[in-house]
Amino acid sequence: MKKLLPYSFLLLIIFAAVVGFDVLPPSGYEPVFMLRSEMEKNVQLDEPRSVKNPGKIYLKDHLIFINEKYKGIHVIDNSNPENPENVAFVKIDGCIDIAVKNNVLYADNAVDLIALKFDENLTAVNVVKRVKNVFPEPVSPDGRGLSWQEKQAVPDDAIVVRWEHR
Amino acid sequence: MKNILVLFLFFPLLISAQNITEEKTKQLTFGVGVVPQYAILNGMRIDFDYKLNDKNQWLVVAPQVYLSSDPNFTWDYNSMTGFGIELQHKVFLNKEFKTVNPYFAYGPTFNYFSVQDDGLTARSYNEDGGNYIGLVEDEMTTRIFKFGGNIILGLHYFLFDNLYMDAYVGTGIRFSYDNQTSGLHGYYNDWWADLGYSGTLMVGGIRFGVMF
Repeated sequence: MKKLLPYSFLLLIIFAAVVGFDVLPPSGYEPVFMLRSEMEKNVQLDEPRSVKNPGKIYLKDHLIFINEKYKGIHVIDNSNPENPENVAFVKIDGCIDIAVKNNVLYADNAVDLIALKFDENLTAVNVVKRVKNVFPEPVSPDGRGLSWQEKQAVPDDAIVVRWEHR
Repeated sequence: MKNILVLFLFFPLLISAQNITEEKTKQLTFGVGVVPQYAILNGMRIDFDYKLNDKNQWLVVAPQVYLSSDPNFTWDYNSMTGFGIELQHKVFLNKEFKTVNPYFAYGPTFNYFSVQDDGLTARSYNEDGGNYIGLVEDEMTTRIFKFGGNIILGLHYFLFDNLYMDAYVGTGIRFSYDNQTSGLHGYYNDWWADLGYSGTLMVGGIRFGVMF
């Protein structure tokens, strides 16, 4: 009986190698892509909207910037701390991080780093600098990257901008 | 058991040795054969052999067809059709046929496959003013074009008068392209028997046929 055990184990390994098993469970997330040209064009100042999936928060003078994960940045006017006012939303696909220096807002636009400047009345925003492909494509919340099937299914210049629950 | 193994391993040599005394010349100019192992790959291959000259050099034209309507143990696609052709310049080392005839052959090969399989396809949609691309599962058709060439060494046995068996081994190279990706890709290029294999490979097999 003792001799049978290693042989049985060996047979099991051979069987597993021949038949094959999916070792990893399927991911609960699927990628959403944008063509680079669309992604760059889609950085816009928009109407304020409610905070749904907040990320990082940055305070600069009387403004609070709250990241809406993978979607953009809420701009909150905190001139009156008793009554902060949600004044705008900057659409930035794939954005999960923000920083501000010298009145320039830096954010990640999926794989790009962009620098934004608002006008005085917060009615317009301009991308003053874009450094392309400095970040890796975002991985899913459960930690996976793109499978080869996903890579081959999308156009060559498509970029992952977020992951959505299936 | 040991004797059987030795007999099996040296069977070709035993036959060759026998030939020396049983040399027989055959005036043959045309042959037709089949390669049964192609059935494993859901294919059928028929070899047409045409004698080119008196130096016992032959042209082999080998058309192939492939048809599979179900997944099998080798592949898990939904269905597949294909065709191919291989050309070989076959040079027998003996200018006249004996019972056993060593040869070498080389030539180009081409295959086309149309594979229906479940895959991911890109779907564009508009959301919040932006144009996004999502992936949906769908049956997709992949057209694969495979080019390459083989160099083989073989032994051509005459089993009976005109019936022959041909055992060959050799090496080859393949370059595959498809209409879904640019360049090489993984799904149909996982191992040497895959439809879209690219790389070098060992070829080998057995043919049966008749010569006239």
